[in-house]
Amino acid sequence: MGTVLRDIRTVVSARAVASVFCTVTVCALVSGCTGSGQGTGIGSGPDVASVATTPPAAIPASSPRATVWLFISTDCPICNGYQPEIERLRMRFATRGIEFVGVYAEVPLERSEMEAHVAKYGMKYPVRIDTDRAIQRRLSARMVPEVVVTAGAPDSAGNPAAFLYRGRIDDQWPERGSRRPSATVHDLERALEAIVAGQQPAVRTTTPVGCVL
Amino acid sequence: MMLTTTLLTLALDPPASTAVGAAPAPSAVDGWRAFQQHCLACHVQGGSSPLLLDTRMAIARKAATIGTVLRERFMPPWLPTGGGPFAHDAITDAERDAIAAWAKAGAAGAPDSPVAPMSPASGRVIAEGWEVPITGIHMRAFVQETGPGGSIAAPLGPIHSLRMERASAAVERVMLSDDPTGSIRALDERDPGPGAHTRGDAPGSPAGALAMLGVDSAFTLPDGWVLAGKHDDLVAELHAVGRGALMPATVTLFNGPLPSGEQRRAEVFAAGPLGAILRERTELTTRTDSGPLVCDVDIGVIGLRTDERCTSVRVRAIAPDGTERLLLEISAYREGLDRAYRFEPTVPLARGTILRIDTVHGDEVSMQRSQPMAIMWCARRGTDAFPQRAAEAVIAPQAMPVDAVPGTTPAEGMTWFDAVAACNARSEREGLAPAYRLEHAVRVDGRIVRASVTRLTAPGWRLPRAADVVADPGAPADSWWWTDDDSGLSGFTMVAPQGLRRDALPPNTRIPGVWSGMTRPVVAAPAK
Repeated sequence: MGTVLRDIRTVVSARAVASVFCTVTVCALVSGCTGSGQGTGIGSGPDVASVATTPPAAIPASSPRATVWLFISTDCPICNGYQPEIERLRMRFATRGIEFVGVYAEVPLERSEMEAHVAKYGMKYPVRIDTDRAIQRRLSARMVPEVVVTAGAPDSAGNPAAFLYRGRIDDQWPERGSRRPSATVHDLERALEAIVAGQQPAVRTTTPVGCVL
Repeated sequence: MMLTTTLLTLALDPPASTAVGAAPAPSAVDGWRAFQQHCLACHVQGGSSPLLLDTRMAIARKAATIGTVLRERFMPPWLPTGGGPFAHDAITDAERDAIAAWAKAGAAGAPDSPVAPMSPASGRVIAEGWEVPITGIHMRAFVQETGPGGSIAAPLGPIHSLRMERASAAVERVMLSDDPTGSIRALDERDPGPGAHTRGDAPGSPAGALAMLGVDSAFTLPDGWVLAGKHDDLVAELHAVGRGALMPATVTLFNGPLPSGEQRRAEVFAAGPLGAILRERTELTTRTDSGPLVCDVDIGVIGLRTDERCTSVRVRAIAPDGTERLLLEISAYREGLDRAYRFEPTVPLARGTILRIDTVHGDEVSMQRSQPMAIMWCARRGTDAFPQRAAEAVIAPQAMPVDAVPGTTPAEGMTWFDAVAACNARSEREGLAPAYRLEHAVRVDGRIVRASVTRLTAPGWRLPRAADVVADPGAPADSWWWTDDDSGLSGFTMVAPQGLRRDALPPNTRIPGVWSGMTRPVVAAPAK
């Protein structure tokens, strides 16, 4: 414990992943991230004021139109319970110009733990370990699970405050410890439906529920 | 839970320091000890939580969440906001702060590798072969029971305390009961999958009547109390939730030692839809009043059966004189964090007391579907309320006279309370000492729908025992008679001469055509 983990550099496109059962794949580093070895905690990402005032980015006309950053954890029960729903959304939107990237935001995390987690939950989207919390800081993630939808490809430069949607996946968890038998509002799905139609989501932010980063 | 905590403490107490020659800071020791006492029993393999916090890395990684849930008082889970008093090892604010600081500082003293659960050699394995699906809420009842190595285990035996370990935290609660009629076993055998998709309610034994094991994975009766019986038809109703991946539902039960010395017999009183004398629903609320207790009791443990969209629960005891006592209140109910609650000291309730259960639900569908129940483990106080009747010679049951209940006819049916009142009325007409004392009667449309009934040792007319009703193949099929069931704390039953039987009916039931019979012991001369 305590060794610095390095991002795995094997790159697999989301469309290829859709037809292949993969165990561990990771995207290239997002440009604009700070270097490794930085301190933990939220600090260099968009603050509340800039999030509230920065208009959303324009949606590209061609694929990839947006990236869904999924802040996940190996052991958050709410997060793990959402993996089947994430897979359902990935299957629905991956061929329509939406890329999914999983970010293990609770660190330190051993590579073996990540591999075991991916295998156990049958995850088919690329994942990475946010060793230095650079992605968390850049996108100002607060919880797991939390999603941040940015315009364009994962590696496209852009203002993180100009996100398209951020927050919860749906309303199945109105609060910690209280669970609905099934969700009644599918927030992320609604947002992605709007994006693939070339429109800004009607609801841009929601409050996630889960484990605190 | 305390036994588990103690065993784990012995295994996990840290050495003097993780660094040679240095003693841990006092706050670190306090935080680690408090964590072991209040958190570790659930957050280890075999515990109730899907979130494992059994290594230093796992705890340090979750430090922010640990601090948040402690500060919000979401953890440790303890739902009651009123009622009791309950046996509860409450965490102090100082311990909350110590744990949060200790986790944030790196969880010094916690082990680097997970500790395997310490399981005794003997255990009762339930629900082998069932994997909880990856999503959804699931409930299945299991009758099969095996011991170590897959052999059929011996009966469970008397119960004072039970402990449970889980193959995975997909199982949130387990409710144990008997299956005296074999109905659940029959369903299980017909259901092609593992277990049976049903509530484990058997006639006379609702799911959870033997024990409820929830978030604390334990069930313990008060000191000296024992729930007797062999329990060789054990039914385990498992409540499970999909956790995103297939997970085994297997649970292992460990029966604790019986108390030495004098024992008190624990009995179950199930307050719920069966036997209820009042059931009301509004848009989002329900109210259920149980039938009355037939004798004085002490309550030892109370457990709830509700549903996942129940948002608050309140259980009150209402004495015959109208005095209310709050037994249990949960203002923010969370089914996954529920457990059985042990009173300390036990709570006395008088004969004639009813239990009132009020629930609030998050939506109308949940309210409509809900059949809330409170199961209480009680011990009788004082002498047995039922006079010994087995050795009596009795007059064969006679059909109740058509004028037994003034102003009504057999076509309209009578409640059990009406039948008791009719027995007393005939006794008085014939100069016999009444066999019942009927008090606090509540009438609706001329029928008695609620009352406190005491059985007396007197030669007056009484309802027949179920066994007294002669099986008569020639009698009409709808010739149902109310009887006097002398088992249980508020049992009512109805039988037909052909030997058919309907147990646990509400005593205020009125079924058209249902009348009753009367019987009385043979005496040399009528008693006045």
